[in-house]
Amino acid sequence: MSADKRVADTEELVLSDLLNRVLDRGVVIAGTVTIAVANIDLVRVGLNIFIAAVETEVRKAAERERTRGSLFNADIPVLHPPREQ
Amino acid sequence: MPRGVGGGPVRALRAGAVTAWVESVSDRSLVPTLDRVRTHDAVADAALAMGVTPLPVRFGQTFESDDECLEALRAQEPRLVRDLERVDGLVEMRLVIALADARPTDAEIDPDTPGRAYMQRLLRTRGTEQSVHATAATVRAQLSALVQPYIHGEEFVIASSPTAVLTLSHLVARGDVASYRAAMNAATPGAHVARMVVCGPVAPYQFVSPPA
Repeated sequence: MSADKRVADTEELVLSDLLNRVLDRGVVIAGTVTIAVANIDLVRVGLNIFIAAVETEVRKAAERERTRGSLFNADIPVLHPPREQ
Repeated sequence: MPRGVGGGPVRALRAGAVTAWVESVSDRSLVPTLDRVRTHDAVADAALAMGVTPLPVRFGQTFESDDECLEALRAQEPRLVRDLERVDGLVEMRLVIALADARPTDAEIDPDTPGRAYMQRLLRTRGTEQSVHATAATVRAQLSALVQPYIHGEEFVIASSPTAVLTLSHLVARGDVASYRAAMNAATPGAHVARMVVCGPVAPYQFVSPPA
């Protein structure tokens, strides 16, 4: 493996970790968690993890809905379709 | 105080035993651009650098007003205080590990019989996940043993798709960060590890209680 490839792989891991922890971890107080899927170019490297973070919110919202029987919840993210490339 | 994700100054909001760092934003639909994600993390880093370990909050939480935020904080105060006490004096170190190809070898998928092909794909996916989890467990045990004297808590996340990545988080005393890094830098990753990066110290993102 070339040095350039190793550096690129390392940067990708670091960036993916940053996106994962900031978007999918940390304290949830309440309020509105608003994550809009847009500007995909800027998160190209970590896109899969970014989408995974959004999916986590959707899954949790669905679980809450099942347990509470409520249709709306402040934590449900607002999802917009990705921009056409 | 640092600048927040909206570019405005961050200010402190006191709610009982806890203080939150907040920013007034004009648009509550905060699109998580890379710059904003980095800024959010930098605010957590700035708080961590003050010497008291903060609880980082998830990106994108907004409130209608300071009063609404204060009310939510007061409602969560016992949980927040408990978590703050747990991480007092500690920081999070993260090992991000790309696992070597852990896919099991299996039979060719038969394209002529769609039903069988579907079941074969299902089994292949399940087999891959099991294989990734088994590999991750081995790697986790090996690496954690190297830094056992410094660990005050451990969490991990395994992603099996599209690439297999194990993220291993450790709570480490501030004074032990250099020793922890030295132990990891001296580690010889086994055949299961394609790439490993040591990240941190960061605020303890992985060690907060889930919302009530």
